[in-house]
Amino acid sequence: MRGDWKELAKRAGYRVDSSDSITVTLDGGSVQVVRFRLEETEQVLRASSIIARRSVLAAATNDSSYRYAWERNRLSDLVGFTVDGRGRLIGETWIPLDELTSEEFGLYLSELARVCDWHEFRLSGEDTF
Amino acid sequence: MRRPLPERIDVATARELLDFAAGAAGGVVSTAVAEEQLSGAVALHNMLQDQNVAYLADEVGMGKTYVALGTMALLRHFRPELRVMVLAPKENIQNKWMKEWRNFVSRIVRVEDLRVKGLGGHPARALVKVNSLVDLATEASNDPDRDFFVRLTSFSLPIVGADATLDKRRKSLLRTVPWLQSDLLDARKEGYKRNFARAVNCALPDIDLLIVDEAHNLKAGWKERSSSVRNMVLGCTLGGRHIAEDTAQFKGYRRRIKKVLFLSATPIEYEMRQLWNQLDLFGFSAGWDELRDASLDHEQHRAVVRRLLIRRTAELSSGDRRLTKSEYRREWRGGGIATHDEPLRPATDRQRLAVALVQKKVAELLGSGVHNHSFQVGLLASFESFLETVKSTKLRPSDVPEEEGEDTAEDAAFHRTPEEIASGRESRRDGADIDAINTLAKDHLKTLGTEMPHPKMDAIVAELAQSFVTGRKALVFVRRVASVDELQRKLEEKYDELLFARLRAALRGATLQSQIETQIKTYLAERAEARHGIRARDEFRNTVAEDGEQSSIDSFFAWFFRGKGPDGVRSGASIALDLEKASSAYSTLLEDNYVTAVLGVSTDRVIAEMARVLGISEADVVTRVERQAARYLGAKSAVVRSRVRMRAFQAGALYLLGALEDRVGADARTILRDVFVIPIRDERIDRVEKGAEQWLAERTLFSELRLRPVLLKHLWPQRATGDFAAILHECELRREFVSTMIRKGHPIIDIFILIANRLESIRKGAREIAEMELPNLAGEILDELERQRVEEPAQFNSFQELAENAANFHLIVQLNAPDLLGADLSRVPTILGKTLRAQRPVAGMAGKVNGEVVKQFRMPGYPLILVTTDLLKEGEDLHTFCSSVYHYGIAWMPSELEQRVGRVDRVGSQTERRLGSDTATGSDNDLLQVYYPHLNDTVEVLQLRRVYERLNRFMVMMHEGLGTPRKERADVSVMEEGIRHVIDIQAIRTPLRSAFRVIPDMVKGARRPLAVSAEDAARMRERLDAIEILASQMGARGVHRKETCQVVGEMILESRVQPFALLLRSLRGRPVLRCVSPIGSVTMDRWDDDLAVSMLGVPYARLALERNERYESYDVAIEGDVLLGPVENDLERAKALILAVVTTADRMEKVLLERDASMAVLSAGLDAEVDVAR
Repeated sequence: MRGDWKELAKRAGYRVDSSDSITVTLDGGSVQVVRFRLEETEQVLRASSIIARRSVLAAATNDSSYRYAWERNRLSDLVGFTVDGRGRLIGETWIPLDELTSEEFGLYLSELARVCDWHEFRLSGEDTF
Repeated sequence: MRRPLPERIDVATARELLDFAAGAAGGVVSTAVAEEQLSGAVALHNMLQDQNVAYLADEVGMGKTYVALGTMALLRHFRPELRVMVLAPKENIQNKWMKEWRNFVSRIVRVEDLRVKGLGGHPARALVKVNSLVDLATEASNDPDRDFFVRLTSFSLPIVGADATLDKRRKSLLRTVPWLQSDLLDARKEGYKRNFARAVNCALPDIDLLIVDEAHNLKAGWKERSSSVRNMVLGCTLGGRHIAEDTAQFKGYRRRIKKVLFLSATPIEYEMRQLWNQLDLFGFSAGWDELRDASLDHEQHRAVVRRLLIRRTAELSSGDRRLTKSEYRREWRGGGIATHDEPLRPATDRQRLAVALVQKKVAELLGSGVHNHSFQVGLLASFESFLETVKSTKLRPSDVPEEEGEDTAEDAAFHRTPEEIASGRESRRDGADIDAINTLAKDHLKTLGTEMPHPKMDAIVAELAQSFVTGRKALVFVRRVASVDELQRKLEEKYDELLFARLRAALRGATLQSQIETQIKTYLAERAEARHGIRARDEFRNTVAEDGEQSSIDSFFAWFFRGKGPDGVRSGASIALDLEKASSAYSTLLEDNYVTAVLGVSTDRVIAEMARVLGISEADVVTRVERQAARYLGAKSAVVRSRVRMRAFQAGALYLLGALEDRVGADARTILRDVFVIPIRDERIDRVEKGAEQWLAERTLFSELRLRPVLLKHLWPQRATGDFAAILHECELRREFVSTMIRKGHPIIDIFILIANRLESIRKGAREIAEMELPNLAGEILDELERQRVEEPAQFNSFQELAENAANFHLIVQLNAPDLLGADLSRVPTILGKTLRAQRPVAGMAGKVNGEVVKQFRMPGYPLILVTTDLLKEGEDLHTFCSSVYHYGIAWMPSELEQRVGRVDRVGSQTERRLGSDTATGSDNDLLQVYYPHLNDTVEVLQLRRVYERLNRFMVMMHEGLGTPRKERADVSVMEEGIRHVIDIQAIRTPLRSAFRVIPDMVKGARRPLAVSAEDAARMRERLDAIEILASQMGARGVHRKETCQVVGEMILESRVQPFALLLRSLRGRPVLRCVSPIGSVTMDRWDDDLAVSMLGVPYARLALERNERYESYDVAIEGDVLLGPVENDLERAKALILAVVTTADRMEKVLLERDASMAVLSAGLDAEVDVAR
């Protein structure tokens, strides 16, 4: 099953975009674009989604945007927070590909999209990404 | 007939998940009650599924909390992502809900389904205690997928306080909704509170189920003015009303609540519209407009309410009869408190004169223009006291305005205006007549030199003082904070008189008589001095060490028998301390002699019996025990104190007996394992420690008690069945209870008298040697207890207190100290020491709930009387040993009166036990007594008449067959009441039948299989077992289960070590394995973002920081998690997760902290991380 995450996505009912991303539509109608990156070992898939731009994140933080992200990692399940090179708040999850079922894949995806959507809306008041 | 909807369930389905008989409410729920709770939970579940709103209005004390939690559990089991918020009225009840949810999940939920109940019995979803609105916004935005427990007082949103405080609050909220225009939260602008609430709404997730406890507090509904500002803030926060005009500014503002479950035993006061108000506040009034349609008659309203609300009536068994509340309560509406339905009248001419004077003043006052011959019920101070109310400059602690139990500065500030705060008093609550009464009282004191008599107060003090003789507990509610102090003080003085008389009668000889008189004089002088200034309230002792005892001037008991006691005196307090000390003359008195217990012989036969069962000579027994005792005592045995010495010899003997292969051997080994946690100090010691004959034959209170079967049965009943470890555990718990009660409660008075009479002096050090040689004190104590049992069967004494405790042991433990049930025996003395410390015969409570007093009041013994404001009207259970409630200060609303009585009218109450026992007399004295003390010839009668009418009206509205309610006005007109036709205001005594019962259709639904079975749960445990083994195979050391759902260990990474914990959690009902590896604490100035970033990027491993403002540091850990899918993949996934987390953590620790800390260093940090993760 390694590397066949696109097949898994299809079986889970998602359509993979040409840019190795999936657009997840949530119950409330908002959408979240999830991007994928296969790790070198090809055993783990990193799925990530943008939550907030640098300027939006800055308005919510006391000091460091990194620490804003890391302080949220204690409470979160499956989804972690980090800041990318452009200062954006990113939600990410690591999906073990070995023997992964399409149901599990779907759960990872929906959870990532749900959590990112929640934080995005709260921080920006918008559904941007 | 409505067809069951797919989402509905039936009772059989619910029964598979829930077992209400398994220990709710202190483990005293009968099968019938459990069935009623189950059907209630199902009915509410189905109503919520059908119409998104339901109201549980069972009578007080029937376990509404558990029924609601049952509904919550059912909804969550079938929909694991269910988001819940619980709204409690104030902080102590908020805490109680959190505690009850944990208890409920642990005991009542049958299946570890990872939805409601995690492995090991914890709630599967984390709980959050919310302390303010900003807190709510912050917590919800950080992680909305937790259960939020909020309190109503947080919605008061005070705007008093320093600008800096308000600005801080504004900035904190803006961090959760940074896109909001900041000027909308400017406290100086109109609409600040509304906007603030709307902003919080924007930070909230949708809540699938809101549980509103004591929902009658919201009966005023949605008003944007005056006293209901709190309701408005609540309504806006939860989006109960649409705000089209502000949508652009408050993006996402909407109704957050999907379903709402209201709870209250008194859902309305006088009209059904109040139900509509409650629904409307949360945006659920659509479709329920008939509730506010005044054109409908009573029956038409009821028909609507039946769709919304269920109410069951409480019933108690008395012989063959089932009694409803109207029958098992006895109301004293006549005003008297000594003879039922007799009025209370001034007893002396002075009292009559005082009453006449006050009534004249009150009449003049009410006749003035402002009052127009009317007053608000409950707000005439003279009904409670004539004591002068002091001004702000002389405020005593008890005069600090009462805040209905609010516990935070934020809460406390709300109810006062800035002017009130500045003046230090709160005029609204002082009463309309306060100034007039103050003038009168001052004149009386000045002219006659004494306090003005208050016949009502004097009468109640005289009546309540009987409790010191009978032991009957009484709960007294007052309106004024100052009345708590005044009543408490007068009752303490009565108690002192009785105690002085007892000591004078019991202490023998001129020396003792003279010495005790000296002590009494000293105490009275100190008391007079203390009460002249600020009264030494017991609440102040909260500043002392947590497990410490402290003397106080409140009563002679608190002064002479508690804490250190007076200097240089062999006081009760010093004896109590000696009973606790390991080295005193009495250090072994309250121990057990386990060897005699195992062998079943008296102390004089113990050596011989050991020789017999071991098959050796008595001399050999002595030698071997002494050799073994030496090993327990170690090298410094010469300085080891007496209790330790006794235990060493006991352990030595049990060690020898433990070699036997029979019952004696097995029991001895169990005692050694569970009771004697002291290890052998030095295995190599090969000498004898003299003293076997003495310490194996030591006569303790408990070894002697075993020889008196009748007393034993009453005071220390032994469990006959079950395995020996369980029997031993209970036996030890009971022994520790008796020991602690003797040291800290009323029995210490008896012990003091016995010892003082033996020593013939209470001068410290007078006869220390004699004291050490006192023979058989234990026997004398038991003789006294036996005398009390035989000669004083109906009196309050040590025997009664200890026997009551023994007879109701399980109820007491489960309600007051459930931790004891699973606790190591070594922890028991500490837990009980805290629970039973600082006892006092009379307790008062105002301002803040004192949890220790509450616990002690629901145990036998002190306090016998609890005087409280309405602080205690909700939330705290006080029913186990009290069945008398005094409405000394009357409350206006039936709901308030009902809530007050509800404290003692609950499942498992003293009334229930008494009515159901063989010793029930069948007289009205067996009933729950409710008193309304008032003077017959005062305007208070008018007040009471209106209150009775309201009580009856409420009963009529909620029950069938009692007629039709009449309308009324809200204030009392002296002119009108005086000429109004006298209506029947007697208490309703006919059986009650609820108008809103659970009907069969409500519990009709689909028979659904549980989403997770017990077998599935068992398999999950096996999967974690396998992962535990895997961790060891990966090279981790010390791998073990810390709890059922938690594995801990230390991974060995080449030359370094890294602690970790594995937790089995759940996400939407799916198992998730989380790995946490702590790094430690890094000061903020040393923290380097770039350095941390450079070490991240490893799959699964995320950096988790916790800001510690106090130490200006971050607690740092690496965490990660992975879904557990098909079982065959578990080990592969777990391995990858563990490796990623521990290697990243170790690397970061090495670079950031330049160290390699082990579990010993990081265990506290790991526990903290795990607590958050759970």
